[in-house]
Amino acid sequence: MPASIELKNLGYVYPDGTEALRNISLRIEEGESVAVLGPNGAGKSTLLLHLNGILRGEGTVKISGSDIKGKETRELIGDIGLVFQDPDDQLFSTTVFDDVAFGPLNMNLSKEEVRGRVASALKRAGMEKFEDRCPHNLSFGEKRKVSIATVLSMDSRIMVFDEPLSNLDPRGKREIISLIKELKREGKTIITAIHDVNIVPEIADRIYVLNKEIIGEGTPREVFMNTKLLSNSNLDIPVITQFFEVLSCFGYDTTDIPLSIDEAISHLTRTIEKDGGHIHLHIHEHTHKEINRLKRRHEHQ
Amino acid sequence: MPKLDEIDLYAGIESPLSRWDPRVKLTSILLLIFSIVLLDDLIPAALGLILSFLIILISRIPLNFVLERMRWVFLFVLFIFIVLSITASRGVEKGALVALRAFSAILLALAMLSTTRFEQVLKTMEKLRVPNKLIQTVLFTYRYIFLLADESHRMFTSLKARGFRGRTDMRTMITIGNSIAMLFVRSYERAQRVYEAMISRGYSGVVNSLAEFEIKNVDYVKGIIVIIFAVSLHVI
Ligand SMILES: Nc1ncnc2c1ncn2[C@@H]1O[C@H](COP(=O)(O)OP(=O)(O)OP(=O)(O)O)[C@@H](O)[C@H]1O
Ligand SMILES: [Mg+2]
Repeated sequence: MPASIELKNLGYVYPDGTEALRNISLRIEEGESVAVLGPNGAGKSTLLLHLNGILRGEGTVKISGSDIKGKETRELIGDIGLVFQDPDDQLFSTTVFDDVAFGPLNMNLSKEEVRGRVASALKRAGMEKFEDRCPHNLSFGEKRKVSIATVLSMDSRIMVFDEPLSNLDPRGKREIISLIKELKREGKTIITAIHDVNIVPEIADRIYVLNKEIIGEGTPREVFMNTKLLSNSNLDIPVITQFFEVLSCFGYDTTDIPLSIDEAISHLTRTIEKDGGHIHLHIHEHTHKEINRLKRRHEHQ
Repeated sequence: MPKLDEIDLYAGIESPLSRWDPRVKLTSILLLIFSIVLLDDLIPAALGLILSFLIILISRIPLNFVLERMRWVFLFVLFIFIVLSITASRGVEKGALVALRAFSAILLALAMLSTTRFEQVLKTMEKLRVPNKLIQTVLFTYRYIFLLADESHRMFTSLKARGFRGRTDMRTMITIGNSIAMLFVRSYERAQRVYEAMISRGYSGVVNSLAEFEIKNVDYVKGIIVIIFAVSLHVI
């Protein structure tokens, strides 16, 4: 089966001479969920804009095996739905309803189908009461959720999110995280540019670390355990993982260190069951030295 | 600086105007506007203004909103009035005529546009076979006015937040000059990205819409009433 997305030697230089991407090659399989990590200005947004041909640089972009060269962006909407980083770029209609209906209407669906899709997209984004509001006057977080709905309504096979969680309150974040997981269960291919590493193990099967070039790739475990990559790319590791590193200084066995709350729960359960009903922590002669080393390691980041 | 309101802010208000089929509404009110603008005598023009005002009342658009919009027009018209009355022969009469026509036209345009969803205006233009290029121009102009207003609002807020105060010195001039230049760059780039986001959702130059129109008899009746007024202004 051809890859859902395949990039070969992609490079892009902005008209003002800024080189944003260099020699990017990657392959994302159908149904995979991939996170793109990297510092500000790493080229994440630039990369995502290449996926449906809004930007076209050197190299090739293949969607489901076929080169998008010579295809218009609008011919790709069934394949790729892209949520822009800034909702103000995305929303332009006078009502939320019109904006969410915009994509489906361009797909020549029946009116019933369009209405149904708008309703379900708004519901999934948690914005069903906002149909008649003017997007212009919404709060930033509300705009964010509406712009996600405008892409959900197209029901494309590949969903691309550019920092979908920024500016959302804790509850909004949880909603969007469950939404992404749900889309994944439905078999969509998902690509998310994201800064919050705590979320990554929950939503992504695989990570690409970007800094103009791809400087690292692997499962969340592979990436977060790769000390050299982490210090080269100024990446954090999830807070829960940091906490288990602290526990390890107190003698806790951290083989298969947890990357998420769920993993932490099963890790603790396993350890407690193995140790006859409790966990054993203690201060030994190296504890303070190890903790200081740990602190230094996370501070430099 | 206040935020700009959307043009169709009062489309949701229940009134005989907002219930009116947009095609019939736009055509008949446009006819009335042309009819009033072409009037050459003071009395019919004054009647035209009264009529326009009545239509505003019927539309239930809040009067302070209308007054707010009229303020700039008023200044502009006042300027023309003064110039005309000084320079032209029978200038006062000519000036008054211009003022009456202008006020009526603005009132009617307000009544027409702010009670119709913008999307319906576009759709109506399409149904009335206005060329697609023109419809798109209207759509984007409309969008970009808000972009420009938004960006300038943001920019001046940020200037003020950093202690900027308008004076009449060189530094003020330079700051304002730079800001305005930056404003256009930013608005241009924003417009570009909005366009790209539309393309990403399949925009191909045709404005599709779910708006369905069904002209009922009562729509025609309203239209005929307005057109009768439009014609009678010229025969009295
Ligand atoms: N329109 C543009 N013109 C010129 N340079 C640009 C333009 N847009 C982005 N860049 C530059 O390209 C590089 C990559 O930008 P990009 O927006 O892709 O980064 P990013 O990884 O998405 O960053 P962030 O995390 O801040 O969203 C940056 O150095 C940026 O300054
Ligand atoms: Mg970005």
